[in-house]
Amino acid sequence: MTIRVLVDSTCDVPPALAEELGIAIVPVYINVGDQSYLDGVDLTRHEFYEDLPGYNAFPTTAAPAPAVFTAAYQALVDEGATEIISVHLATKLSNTLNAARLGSFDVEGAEIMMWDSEQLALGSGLQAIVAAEAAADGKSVPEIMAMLHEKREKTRIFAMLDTLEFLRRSGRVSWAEFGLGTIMRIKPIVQVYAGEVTVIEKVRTSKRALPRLVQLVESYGPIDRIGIEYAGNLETAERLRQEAQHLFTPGSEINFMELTPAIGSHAGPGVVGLGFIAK
Amino acid sequence: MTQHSYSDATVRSEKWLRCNGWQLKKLTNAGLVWLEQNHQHVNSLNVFPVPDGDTGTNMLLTMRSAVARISDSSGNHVGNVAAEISQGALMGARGNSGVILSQIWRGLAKGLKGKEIFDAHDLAEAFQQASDTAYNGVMRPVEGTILTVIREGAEEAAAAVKRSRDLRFVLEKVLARSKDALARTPDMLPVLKQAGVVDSGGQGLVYIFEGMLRYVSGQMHELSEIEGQYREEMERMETAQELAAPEDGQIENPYDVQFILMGDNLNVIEVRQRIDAMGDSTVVVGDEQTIKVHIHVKDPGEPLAYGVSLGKITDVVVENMQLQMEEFINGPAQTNGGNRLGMGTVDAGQIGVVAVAAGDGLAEVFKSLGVSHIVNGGQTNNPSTEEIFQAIQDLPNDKVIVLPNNKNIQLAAEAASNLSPKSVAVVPTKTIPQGFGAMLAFRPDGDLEHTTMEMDEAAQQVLTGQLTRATRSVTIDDVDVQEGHIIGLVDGRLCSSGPEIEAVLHDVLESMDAANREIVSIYYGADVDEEEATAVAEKIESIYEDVEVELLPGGQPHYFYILGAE
Repeated sequence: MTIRVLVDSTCDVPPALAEELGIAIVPVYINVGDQSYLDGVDLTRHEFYEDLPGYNAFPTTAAPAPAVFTAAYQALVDEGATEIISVHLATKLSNTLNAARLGSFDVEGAEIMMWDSEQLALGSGLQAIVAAEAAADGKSVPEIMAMLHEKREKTRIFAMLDTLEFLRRSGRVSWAEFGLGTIMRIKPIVQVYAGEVTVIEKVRTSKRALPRLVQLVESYGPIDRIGIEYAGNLETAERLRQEAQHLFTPGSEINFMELTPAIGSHAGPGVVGLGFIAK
Repeated sequence: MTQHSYSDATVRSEKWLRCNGWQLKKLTNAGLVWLEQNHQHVNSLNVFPVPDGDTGTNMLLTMRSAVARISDSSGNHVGNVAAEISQGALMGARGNSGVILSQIWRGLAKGLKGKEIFDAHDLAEAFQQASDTAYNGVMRPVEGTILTVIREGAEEAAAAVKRSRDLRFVLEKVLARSKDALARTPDMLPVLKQAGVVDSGGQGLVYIFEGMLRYVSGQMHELSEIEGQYREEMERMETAQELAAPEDGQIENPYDVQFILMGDNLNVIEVRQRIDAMGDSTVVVGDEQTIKVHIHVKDPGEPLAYGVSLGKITDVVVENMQLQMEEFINGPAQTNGGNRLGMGTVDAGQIGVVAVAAGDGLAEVFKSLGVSHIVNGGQTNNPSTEEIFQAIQDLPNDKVIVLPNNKNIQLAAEAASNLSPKSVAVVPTKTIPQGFGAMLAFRPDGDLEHTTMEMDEAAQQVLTGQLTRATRSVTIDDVDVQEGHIIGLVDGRLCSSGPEIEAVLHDVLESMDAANREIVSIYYGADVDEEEATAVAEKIESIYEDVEVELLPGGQPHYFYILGAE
């Protein structure tokens, strides 16, 4: 019995960790104008965020075709996988899981379980990581799935957006509350949970927002796993890391991760957040 | 005409024992007219030498609304007339003094309810009701204000009635006592003593009483009679003109000119002919000594010069109707494209917000924060109860929150919320930046009570600075103010005054402890141009290095800069 975990690139599993745990990553497409890039392959994230403000056309993301997933699953089977857990961003927010599911129908040699993380970015990634660790630990698929059900409820992201321009331009204002004050300087604090992104607070400065993010995470009690994500602004991420110092117990923290452009193009550069699974 | 003369004669006879509906109308009108003549004096008594929120203007507008409401249908029934006056005052109430005045009328109307006529006893009781109702209408009644004047007036009426049934006697006593109470207000309210003035609201009420007495003693006869005639003629003229809207958007005679002409041996008919030749919409009424003129012309100088050639002119009003019309058409309308700015809640089940703001830029910020409807404060910055009420009613939401954003609009907002059958809460914001702060905590899906509380808390986190020009010289809070100088206020308290904006701005920022704030927002007014404001903002940024500085066009009248610090 070999259990492998597969994710799409929006799950933001740090590459080194992915390699260590044998997590396969299927890149999604980032479309800028008439050019199409594979997330993390053709376009580094850092480059993307540097260029983002200058893009004329608004970048869009697209899930890979089911056949791409078929090939990815098949490759894992060829490496000896008998069971595959496929973790993806929330179906409420994207079609990606559906494309993966369609792709899984044509695979021979392994049982494939789809897992709707009801999250995005690191929120999905953390679930994939704990699943892979459990698999390496000898747990069975039913055990892992039960654990994922439990962990999913305890997974949250709190993030501060630097500007509302991108959320507004992306047309995805249905994600969050209306009335986000694009005239006044506002740093909205959003929560990602249960497949939804909601603005929970509007704060005026990042000076105030960062401690607030930490407070929000703290209110959920002891932390199992936690990570910081950012888009183009390493400095702010480091400030957040300092504020959140006491939350990072040994073994709980994963390295900084730069946010997938799939999400970053909607949130805008300067977004910084804490993704975590509570104990 | 005969009947009217008879009623006037009764009023001025030896003993005036009964007042009917028609006489009450005249009394009220006389109060209005005398207040109108003296409202600038009331304005000048504002403790704070700031250019908006004028008590005199507010009380005047409230009285006008009251008088306008009196219709022919109430006939001669005093109770019905009083009820109509009260209704008009309640709806048209502006500013805190206006609202309290409307409560006084409300009390009077309660006291006179169901009566065809009233006598001295009824009047004394009605005065007491007026006083009680006024006190009840204010959360924290303060002595040394209009409340003291009406309270002592009522006391005096009760005492006077024991000595005589003559209504004139009672009114004389009430007026004398009111003036006395007014003179004592500086002893009751330290800030009045400091400023060296009596209470403006109290003075306004005294003028109203005085006007009534002037009518009774025959001094007002001509003017109030003329005002009444004038109003009737205007209505007639306007009704006839309703369909004559300009088709190409250009008004032939764009200036609306009104004035009162006082002289000797004036010939109304000739004046009317000469004025009529200058333009259209002519209304000229009066007698040999007093004539009121209204005309639409191309050149306002023409009718005014003519008036000056015949005598003295006063109460001059000139309005540019072309500009008014253009503003009305192109002005801030509730357009969409505001959807992306998040304007207006679509879902009626959510909470809708009504905010008061004067200034296009400020309105835009409010809309971007989720406000559904802006009530424009206007030049005097004080919308009426009715305007706020209408805004509440116009929203599709059953739950509404109102942000007055001005201490002087608080009562009108409360009155409007009480009038509305919807669930309405008022967050007591005293300034625009507080209003913005409140909106940051706004949750459209929240519970009304809880959301209101959170918004109030958020509002209180914001410090406000304001810069404007002093309307008079005065010393308050140890600050010497010279008329025409720039004055700076922090959270409503005078903190600095001087000839230069920059220096006062600096004082205000220091007083707001700007160095220790995270962000200072600067909203520049209609009288400041962008270049100037940008230079100011840059200067501030360089002085306060650790503070974020945000500059936005507010477009507000009177206040050069409004600042918010958090």
